[in-house]
Amino acid sequence: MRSVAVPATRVEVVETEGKARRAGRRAGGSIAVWWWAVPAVVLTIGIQYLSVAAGSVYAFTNYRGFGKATFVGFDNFVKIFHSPATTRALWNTLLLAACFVIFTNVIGMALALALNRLLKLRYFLRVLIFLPVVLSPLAVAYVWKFIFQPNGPLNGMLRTVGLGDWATAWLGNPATAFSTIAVVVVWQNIGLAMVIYLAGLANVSPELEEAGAVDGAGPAARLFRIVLPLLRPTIVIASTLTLIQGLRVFDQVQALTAGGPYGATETLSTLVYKETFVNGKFGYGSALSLLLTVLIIAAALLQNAALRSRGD
Amino acid sequence: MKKRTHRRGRRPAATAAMLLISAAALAGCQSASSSDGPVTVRFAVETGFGKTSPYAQIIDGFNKSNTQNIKVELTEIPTDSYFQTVRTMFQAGNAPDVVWGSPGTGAANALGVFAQAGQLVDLSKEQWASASVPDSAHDLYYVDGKLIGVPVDVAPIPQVVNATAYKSLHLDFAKTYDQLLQQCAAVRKAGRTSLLGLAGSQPTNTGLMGLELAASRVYAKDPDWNQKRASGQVTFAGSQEWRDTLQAVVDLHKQGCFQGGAEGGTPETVTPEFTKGKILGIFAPASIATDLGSLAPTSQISVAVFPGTTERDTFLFASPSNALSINASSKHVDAAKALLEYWMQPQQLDKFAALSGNVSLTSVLHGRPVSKKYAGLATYLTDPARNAPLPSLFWPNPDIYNKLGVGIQGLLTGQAEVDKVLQDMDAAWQS
Amino acid sequence: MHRYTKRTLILEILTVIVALALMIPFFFLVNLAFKGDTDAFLSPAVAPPKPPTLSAFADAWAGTPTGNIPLGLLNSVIVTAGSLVVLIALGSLAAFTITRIPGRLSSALYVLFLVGIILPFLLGLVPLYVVMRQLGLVGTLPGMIILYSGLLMPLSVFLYTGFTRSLPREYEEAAQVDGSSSLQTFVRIIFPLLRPATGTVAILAGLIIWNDFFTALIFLIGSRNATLPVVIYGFVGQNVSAWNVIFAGIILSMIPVLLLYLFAQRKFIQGFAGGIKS
Repeated sequence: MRSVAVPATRVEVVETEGKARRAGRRAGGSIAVWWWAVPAVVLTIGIQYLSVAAGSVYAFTNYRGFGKATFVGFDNFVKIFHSPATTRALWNTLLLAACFVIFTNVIGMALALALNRLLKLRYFLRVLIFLPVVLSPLAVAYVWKFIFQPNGPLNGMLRTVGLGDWATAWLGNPATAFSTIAVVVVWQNIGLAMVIYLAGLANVSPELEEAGAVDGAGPAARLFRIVLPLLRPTIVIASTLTLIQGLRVFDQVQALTAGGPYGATETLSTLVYKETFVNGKFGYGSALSLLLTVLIIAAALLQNAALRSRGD
Repeated sequence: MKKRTHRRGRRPAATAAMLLISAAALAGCQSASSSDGPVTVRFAVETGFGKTSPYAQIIDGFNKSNTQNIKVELTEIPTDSYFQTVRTMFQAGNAPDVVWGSPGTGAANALGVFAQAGQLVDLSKEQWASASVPDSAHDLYYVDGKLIGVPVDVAPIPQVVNATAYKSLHLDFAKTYDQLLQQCAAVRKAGRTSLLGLAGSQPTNTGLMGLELAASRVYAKDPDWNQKRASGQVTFAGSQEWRDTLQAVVDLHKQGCFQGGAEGGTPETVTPEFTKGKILGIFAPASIATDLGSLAPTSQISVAVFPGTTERDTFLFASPSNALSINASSKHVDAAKALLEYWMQPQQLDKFAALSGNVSLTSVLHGRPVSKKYAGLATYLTDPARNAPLPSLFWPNPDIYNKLGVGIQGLLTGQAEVDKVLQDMDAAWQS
Repeated sequence: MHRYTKRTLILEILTVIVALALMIPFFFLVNLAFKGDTDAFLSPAVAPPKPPTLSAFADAWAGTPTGNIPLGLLNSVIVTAGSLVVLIALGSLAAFTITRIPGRLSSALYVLFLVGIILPFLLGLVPLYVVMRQLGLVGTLPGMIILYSGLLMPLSVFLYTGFTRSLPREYEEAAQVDGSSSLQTFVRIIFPLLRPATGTVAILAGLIIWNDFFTALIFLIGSRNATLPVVIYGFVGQNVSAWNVIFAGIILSMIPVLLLYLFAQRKFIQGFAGGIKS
């Protein structure tokens, strides 16, 4: 499941406590009653916590889906780090997330800067660029799969313009499969990054830039000295969000290559799926899944540190 | 290539099937409420390929003819997720009463996995069941002395060929592997795409090709190779026969026998070229020949055995790989048995084979002549020394076959070496 | 500097080109879906349909045994709407409560919801399936509504707390004086004030549920209650190489979201931006 909004973890916690305390002092009772929170808490604990806790136990067993599960301690984790296939998937996951963060943010920010003010068609273009975000990754992946076929339109176009040498089996060639998937994932999320940056830019007053222009700063200087520093909180939020999303990409990889050719595009998500649900190694798959979670939590903490060090 | 195809011009049939299934489902709902009403047997099979499922037609016949008020309700589950869905159902105690799958433990939809967990009814006491299992498939159908299911047909795995294209190039089907290599160049020279089409992005298709090459190189020479591997006398990496097999893949690739970009090929890219006659042959179960034929009304789509290193050691895989088993925790075991007993009657088996496009079990069991479209394979099908079930079905887990398919991808793209692929297969055997 | 200069025009043109390049996949999607069977089979993908036909759409609408698109649409609408009702009703109440009642328990509950957002659901899939099966909820629409409500409740609560925290207390104090009961006050006074957050929850959670493939595949496959992504998956599997029919099916599956998006694009975009900023 793809979660779009991922919170700015640590900061939020601090804020709640602070505000709650302040609020407690300021006003006496609220109309809120304790039991109002109970149904949501019960649903969350029941559906998320209990099931994940039960599932996590598998990570320390050799459960194969049936019969007895024997406790094997950390064997699965030892296996993970001794298996070349898994370490490769781990590496691919990090690489894909890194590419995803860089390209989504750079392109999204560039488009946000371009479409922030002035352009006559800016509202229309924003709507257009945001469109892929709302569509099903699975459905869109089928369209891309068609485009990247060995005898598909991309190769057709290359041949027409005399670049026939570049034509290749985009998803079957280990040299191109990974970047091809990255293109699709970035494409689908550029609009999201753009919208986050547009929201951030709304807080940058034109007067500040104006003042910079009066001081004789060129467009590049204004961007780097005035706009980007003001956008810092937005950059942190957008990059963390995309990092976490990049670490869990599943639908597109599964639909485009299912991890092939020869593991060239295997990521932790596809490997978890394969080991758990195709090969029936529930123990091993659960261990992989735990590893992926640790990665994601580490990413969330990293953002946390970045936010705190900026002190805003 | 997966034995699916598209469904041009069969939309009314598909709609009818849909109505039929919903009607069956509705009937099932009604029956559940009354205790002395008809018994509903749930039956799961992977998705048919657009046309009305052959399974639906036998079930329909049974529903109409049985006198015990049994209603069988068919559920079709998409191929790619069939096994994981059924396994999740078994884990949750929710599995259908009758389950389709492959016998043994080596296929992606292996019923042996359920049998090992004691989830399937033992049919060894039923004469109609034990009499239906061909000798060559004994080890696939018996787990710890228990009969885990019954086969419904025999699926030959030859190459599916565009005979019209062969004729127009004045070529005969190659009788030996060397002849085949020579034809590769001839086909290219004649301006066609390639002699063979490969859906290289699908490990199921590359793996199937690997097995077809292993037929004469490994299994014709040593029919007991799998048993020796199981007892540890041989390994994949340690056997010259398997090295030759994978080397043959590399040679086919080098000689330009596959279409360009074969490593990224998909059924969607290969099928149109094949039906147009630009590709002359594909690796696929024989049953899809009929489906592909309907896509290519101007071409004659036929089947031919894949040539061995010599004419004498050419060998055909033909497996009773479509099996039906009964869920051990089913509440309607007797009703489910009644269905399978009905199915094992010769006239039902013949009818089913005609619908599924495979060879009837009666030809293999009782030596009845094979249907005309398999005339080219008849010599192999009727000689027990020249055919055997697909060897991968006997392997202990599906990951070995997957490693073969993925490994061949790696050979085509240059990511892997022959020895590395065979080592991966050995490693998968142990895990 | 905020004048429309020559440079701005160049920028405008460049941006339009980039945007159009990003739309290329949609060109193929639409172009092919309007082709007839032989046209799609034979003509190059860039060639316009000649003549444009709706036959692929008719085929897609008629569906296949495991790819009944109209039924999938209906199921998706029911599951998404039902889950959103639960997520909005229970999520707003919980968020309001934990931001209003001070103390450690509130903070603890807040953390509980936050962590819930990043828990790896895949791990809990099999245990959950077993329990849901025992309750008779596998393969049913109410089962999916309960499932999605639990899975997305943390997100809903998180989005609401961003809003309830900054809500002034004067409103509830005034309402309390009126003498209406607490729940009535919440429904009549507070809930309408939360409308922007409700919009964000509806859009974010709604899209996640609408587009979810994996959970729906495991829990609904083989039942008559499959939602749209599962139906499309089965549909594509049965239409290998009939790209025009596949694409028509994909377009049909996109129509509800596209319509909503076009009519409420500003809300969508604000919803995403708001959800992330809060």
